[in-house]
Amino acid sequence: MRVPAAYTKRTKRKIGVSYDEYGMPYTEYVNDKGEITSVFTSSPKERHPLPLRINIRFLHETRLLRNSSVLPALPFFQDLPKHYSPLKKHKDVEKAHFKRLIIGGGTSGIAALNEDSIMVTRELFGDILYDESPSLLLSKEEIVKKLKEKVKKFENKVLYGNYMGKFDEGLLFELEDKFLLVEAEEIVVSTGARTLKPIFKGNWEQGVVSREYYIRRLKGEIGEESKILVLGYNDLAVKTALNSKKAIILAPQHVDFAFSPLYRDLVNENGIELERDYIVDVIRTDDKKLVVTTKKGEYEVSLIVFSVLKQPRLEVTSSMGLSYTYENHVYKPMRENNVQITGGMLGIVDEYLSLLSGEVLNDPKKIDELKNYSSKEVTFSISPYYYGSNGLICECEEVWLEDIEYAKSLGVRDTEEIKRVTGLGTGKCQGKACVTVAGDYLKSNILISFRTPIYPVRI
Amino acid sequence: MIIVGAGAHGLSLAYHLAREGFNDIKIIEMKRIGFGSSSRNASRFRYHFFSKENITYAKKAIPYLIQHVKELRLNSLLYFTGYLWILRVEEQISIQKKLDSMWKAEGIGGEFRDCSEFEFLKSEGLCYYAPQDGAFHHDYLIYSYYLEIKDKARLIIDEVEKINFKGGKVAGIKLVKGGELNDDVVVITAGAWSGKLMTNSGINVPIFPEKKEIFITEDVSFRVRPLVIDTSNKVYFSQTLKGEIIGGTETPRPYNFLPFTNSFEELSHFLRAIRETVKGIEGIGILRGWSGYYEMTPDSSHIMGYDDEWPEGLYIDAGYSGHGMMFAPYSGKLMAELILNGKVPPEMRPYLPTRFKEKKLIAESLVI
Repeated sequence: MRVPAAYTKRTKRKIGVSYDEYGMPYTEYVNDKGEITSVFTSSPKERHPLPLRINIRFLHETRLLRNSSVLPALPFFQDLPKHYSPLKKHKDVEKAHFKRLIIGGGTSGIAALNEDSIMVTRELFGDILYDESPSLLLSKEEIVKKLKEKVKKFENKVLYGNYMGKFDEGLLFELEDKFLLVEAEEIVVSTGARTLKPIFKGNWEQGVVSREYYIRRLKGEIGEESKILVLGYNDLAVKTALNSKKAIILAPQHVDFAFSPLYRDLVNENGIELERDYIVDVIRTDDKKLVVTTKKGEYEVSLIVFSVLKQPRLEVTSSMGLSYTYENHVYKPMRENNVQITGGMLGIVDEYLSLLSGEVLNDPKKIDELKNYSSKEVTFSISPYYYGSNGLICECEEVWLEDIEYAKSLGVRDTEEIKRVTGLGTGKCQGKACVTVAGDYLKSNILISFRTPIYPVRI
Repeated sequence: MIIVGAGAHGLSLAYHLAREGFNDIKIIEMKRIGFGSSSRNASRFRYHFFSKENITYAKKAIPYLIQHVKELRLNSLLYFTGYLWILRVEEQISIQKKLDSMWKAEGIGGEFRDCSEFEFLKSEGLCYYAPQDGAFHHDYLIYSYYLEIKDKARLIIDEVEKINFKGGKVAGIKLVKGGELNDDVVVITAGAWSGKLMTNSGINVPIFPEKKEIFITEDVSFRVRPLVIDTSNKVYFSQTLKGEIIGGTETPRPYNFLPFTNSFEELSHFLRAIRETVKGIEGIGILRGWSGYYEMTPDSSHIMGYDDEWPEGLYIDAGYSGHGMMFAPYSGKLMAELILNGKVPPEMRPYLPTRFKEKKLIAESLVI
C-alpha cells in the first residue's frame, strides 16, 4: 500500500498513517536497532493486536485493574521501543541573536523576509508548489514568481531546521548540524496550518489522509484519474478536489456547503459531485480501494482526503505562551508583544492573502488591502468534524469517541478535563493531531496547554 | 464554608465534608482544578522521611491513601514501586545508614543492595531500596474528588484577593473579579499561594514557592519501576505505566513566583543524568517539560489547622514542601474532622501553625 501502516501503541491495532508531516502520529518509529526511523522510508514490523479493547471505561471500572500487583504488567502489553541507541551525530548548542526571526518558510514567511531577518524553516515554499487550485485574487504563477524572486534575494537568510519550543534561554531550533538557542527582537510565526482528521467509523483505515499528504505525496502516485472522497464543506474542500479529476466532496449531513462565488463556479465547471451525509463505515477491500458506506449510499474510492478546515499550528504559539481564540470551529493564536503572526497561522487559506499578510510586515500600508478581504465564515451547531458516531480521536494513546463520551457522562466538559480523564493528547505527538478536533467536538473554548518542547529533543 | 483552592487538598476536604453530609461549600479556584501543583507533580507516595513527625504522619496517611483510592470513581492506578537511592559517595552512605536504623525502628526499614541487582542501572556500587513506597495517578485522584462533589459544592473560578475579618471573626473573602463573598468559615488550601494570600490578609504564615522543573521522555519498554533518587546527579526519576521516564531536577531556586517555563539547561541536565544512569536509553529524547512550585515552609513540613490568635473561623492546610499529593486524602479527612467536630485531632498537633512562634520546628530534610 502506498499509505504506510502503523501499529497503535496500546493495542497494536493496524492503522493507516494519515499525515506526512514531521511530528504527527506514527510518522516515525524506533526500529530493532534502537534507531529512530521514518515510516516513509521503511515499514515497522507487523504486530499482533491485543484481542481486547482497553478503553477508558474498562480502565476505571474493572476491579482487576485496581489491583496493585496487576498494574505493573500493563506496560508489557503495549508496543514500546526496546531501546534507543546512541545518537549518530553530536550537535553542539549555539546561541544567536536576530533582529527579526521568521519561523516557517511558506508563502507568508517568505513574504516577511527582509534585510534584517533570519528564517528557520523545514522547507521553502511549501504546499503552494503542489496545490493546483487557484488563488481568488492573483494567479498562482504570479505569486510563486514573487516568492522565488524574494528567496533568490534573501537566500543567505534561510536556515533549515525545526522549531522545538521556547525555553528560558531562548527559542530552540534543531538544525542539520547543531542546536540554536535564539533570542530575537521580533518573532514572525509563519508556521501555517494543517487539516485534521474528522470523526467517523473507519477513520483509522489506511487511505484516510490529510489534504497536505495527498497533494504533496499521494496525488502523483495514485494518478489524477483515481477517485477520491474529499471531506469538507468550503473552499478548502474544493481546492483539494481540484487536485483530482474525480472527486466527490462529502459534508456531514448537518453542515451546509459554504463556497465563495468563484469556487462555487469551479465546482460546477469541473463537475465536482457534492453530497451531505454521515459515514457509517469504511472498509478497505484491497490495497487500492476503500468502500465508504454512508447512510444514503456507498462510494468506492482510492483515498479519503480530509479537508474540513485548516487549523493553525497552535502548539508553536502556545509553547511561546500566546493565547488563542475559538471562533467558527477554528482556534487562532493572538499576537502579543514582539510576536507577529502571518498566513495560515492567522487562519488564512487563500495564497494571495497569505502573501499579503507577510508583506504587511515590510509595508504597513498593505494592511488596508488585507482588511478588504475578510472571509465569510460559518458556525454549525454540531462540529463539521463530526461525520459519524464512532472513530479514533487520539491515535497515539488510542482514545476513541466512546472514551470522550464516557468522560462526558462522568461530568467533565472541556478539552483539558477530558485530557485529564482519558489521556487524550498525551502521547507521542503531544496532541497536535487530536486536541483541536476533540475541542471543536466538545465546543470547548480551551484546548490543552501545549508545552515545550513541541518535538522530542534529542541532544 | 469557603475553601480557597481546588487542588488535591481543597477537593479532598470538600469530598470528606460532603461524605459527612456537609454540602454548604463554595470552592474558589484561580484557574482550574489542580492548576497549582496538583496536576504538576510526579505523584509518588512514601513513608521514608527524615523526621519522626512526618514518618508518624505518613504511617497514618499512606495506608489511608491506599485504602481510599479503592472507593474512588476513577482508577488512581496505585501500585508499589519502591524508592531507590543511588549512593555514590561515602557521605551519602553514612547518612543512609542512620536513616536505615531509624526506619527499621519505625518498622519501615529498607535494605542496602548492590546497584547491579537493579538491571536497568548502569551504576555499580551501593544502593538503598525501600519497597514500601509507590506511585499513583494524581489526575485520577483529584478528578474523582471533583466528580463526587461537583453537584454538591459550588466551584467559582476567581482569584481571592484577601480574607475579610470582622470583630475577631472571619467575615468572608474579597475576590479579584467577583466582589465579596460572606461566610464565617474560610479554609486556605491554596498551596504555594497560601502564604501570599495570608500575608495579604494581615496574617503571617511562612509558605513560599520554589520553582521546580519536570520532564518526561519518549516511551521505552518498562524498566525503571522504582523512583530513583540520585543525589550526586541532582535528579530523581521513574517510569510511567505508559513507558515514559518522568522525573525532575533538584536545582535550588530562590523562593519566588517564577514563571511556569522550562530551561534548556535543566532539560539537558536531566537528559544527561538519566542517559548516564539507565541502560538502553542513550538516544532517547525529551517529549515534554513543565514546571511548578514546591510550597516550602521553614521546616519543609506542612501547616494545618489554626492558630488561637487568628480570627475565629480561619483554617489552613498547605505548605507540603513537595509531598502534598500523597497526603491529600488523609489531610482532607483530618481537616473535615477538625471543622465538623471543633477538636484538633491528635495527628494534626505537630503541624499547627503555632509551631513557628513556639520554636517547635520539625526536622525534615528529605525533600524529594
